[in-house]
Amino acid sequence: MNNILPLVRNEVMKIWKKKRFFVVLLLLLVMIPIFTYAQYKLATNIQEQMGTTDWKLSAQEQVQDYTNRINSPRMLEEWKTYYKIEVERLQYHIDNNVDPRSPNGVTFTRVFLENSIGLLLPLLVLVIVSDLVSSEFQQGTIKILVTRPVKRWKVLTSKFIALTFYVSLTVFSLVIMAYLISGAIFGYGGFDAPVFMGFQQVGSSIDTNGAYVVEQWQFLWMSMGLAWFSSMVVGCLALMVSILIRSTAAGMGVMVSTLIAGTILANMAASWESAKYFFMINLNTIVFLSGQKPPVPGMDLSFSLINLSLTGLAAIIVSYAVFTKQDIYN
Amino acid sequence: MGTNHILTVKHVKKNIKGKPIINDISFTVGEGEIFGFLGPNGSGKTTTIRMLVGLIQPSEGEISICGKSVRKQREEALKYVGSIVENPEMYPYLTGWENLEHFAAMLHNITSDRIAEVVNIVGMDKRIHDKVKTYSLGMRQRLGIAQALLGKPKLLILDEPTNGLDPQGIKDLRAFIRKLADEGLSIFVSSHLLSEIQMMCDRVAIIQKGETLAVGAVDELLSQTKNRILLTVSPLEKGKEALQQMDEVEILPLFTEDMESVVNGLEPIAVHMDVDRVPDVNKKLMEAGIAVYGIHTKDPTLEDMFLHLTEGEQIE
Repeated sequence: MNNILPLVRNEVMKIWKKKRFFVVLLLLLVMIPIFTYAQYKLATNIQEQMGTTDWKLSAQEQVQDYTNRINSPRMLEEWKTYYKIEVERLQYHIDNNVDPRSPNGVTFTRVFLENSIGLLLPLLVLVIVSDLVSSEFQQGTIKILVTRPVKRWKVLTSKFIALTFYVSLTVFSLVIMAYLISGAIFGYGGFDAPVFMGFQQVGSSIDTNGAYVVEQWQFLWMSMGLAWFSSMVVGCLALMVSILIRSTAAGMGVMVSTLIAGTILANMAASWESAKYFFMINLNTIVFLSGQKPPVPGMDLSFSLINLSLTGLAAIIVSYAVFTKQDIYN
Repeated sequence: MGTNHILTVKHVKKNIKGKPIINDISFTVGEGEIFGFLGPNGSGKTTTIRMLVGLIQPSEGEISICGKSVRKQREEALKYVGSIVENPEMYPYLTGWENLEHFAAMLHNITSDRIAEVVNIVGMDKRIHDKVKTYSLGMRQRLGIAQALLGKPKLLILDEPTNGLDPQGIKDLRAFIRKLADEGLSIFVSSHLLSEIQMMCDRVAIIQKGETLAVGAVDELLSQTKNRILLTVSPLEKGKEALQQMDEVEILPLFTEDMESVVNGLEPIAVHMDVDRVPDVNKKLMEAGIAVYGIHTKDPTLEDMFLHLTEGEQIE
């Protein structure tokens, strides 16, 4: 391991000097304010529609109403859980004197991450990874890189570690920048706001039996883990494509169209069950945390994670097999 | 010239997609020797070089560097090699110095003193902290050599090193290569230019269609090559007839450049014979009533040898 460290430093340095990470930061710096403004517009619209009614009063009325329903003997058990959770949520807002409809930095970040995991984040990963190996071929530097007295698998491993480093940095940057930029408008609070987990979509109804409340920072932290994992899988695939297709432009095209095909498919795959085996459909793992409808019925978190793991693993195996064995002609 | 073999290539063959590209190549490079690898474009020079540095695997045969097999002890063998395969390519977005640091990190115990030393050797001190994308081809070439020298190799492999250099650059490179060889480094230079190899190298391997045609010291190979004497006579046909009948005189096919020796619009006849026979042949031609306008003795060049070996197949 001691002699792989200088190689990793090389790879990290090259990506840095190529200014790829600056491109990522710049993209985030442009996009997040746009979404923040959109969110701000949405919030003010809602407030206008609701008028100036005291939110606290209506929330208290709702709590009262739900409590009555829970105590009613005719109420179905699963609905009771749902109302209990709602009461808990409203009570939090009343206790903390926070309008449940008003946005905050942490909520914005959480929602932004949730919406980025399927396409934006993978695209940012591609900015960094898509030419990781193909650029060495295009520049011809591969001929020096693999004729040094270092095993080829070590060269690839150093690239893989650098990839992991930058993918992690990208996920962190997205979260931190989303929080900092949106917080400037909505305020930096909301870490302890309650978020509900454990919903399950069963047929057309929602199973709330396993539902529970976590604080928003915990939810955000879990979302980051899932986003990181999905991004890593995209990174592994991009690395593989970068090895197999020596043209960066062609490789990028393949990856981008695959990802976009995934989002299109996710919108229409509900009736085609086998579509769930495509990795692109599984990228958005955060939907399982928040209990939203999965793209294909019957998918759950463990299915998606296994699917992504296998995809990533296959990409890594192919990458190593090809990179360590191939004859280099260009 | 050392007797230690730095590079040994034994019956190497390579098939690419079922097609034999390299049929049978064998040669050795000794210590401190400049070895020329000569062949026309497409004869398999670069493919062979790629096998030497482990970029591609030979289908058959064995390559070893300082006794280490490139196939079995790849890292051990490559420790002794510095190379530029085809063009001197570096990371354009890094400075020359950063490029050298990058490749130094892939070797053991290369200090920044050593980097400064190789920069000094190739005379790049002034521009080394500029980005490589601002370099001229000649500077990239020098940076490439600096990179190749970083690990104090025993063998330096240069693929067509004079490509794209101006005449002064070529001259400087030649002197530089000689200096390195005098310090004990073995240098393997490929080229499709005969004159270049002839001026630069101690020994040479000539390859054609993936096979070694000849391997040996440049002087030795030249001494084996038939000299050529160009005779300009009139009438031409009668002269040819007379020459054919003479003993120990062989008429050779004409090369395009022989036409430069046209005298009075007369096409020359190329013959091979001992130089001592020239006065006698001249006398006999005169006696036969054939006018001799010119006799031009040409020293054998590698080109003659090459054409001789490849039976007239042209190279540049």
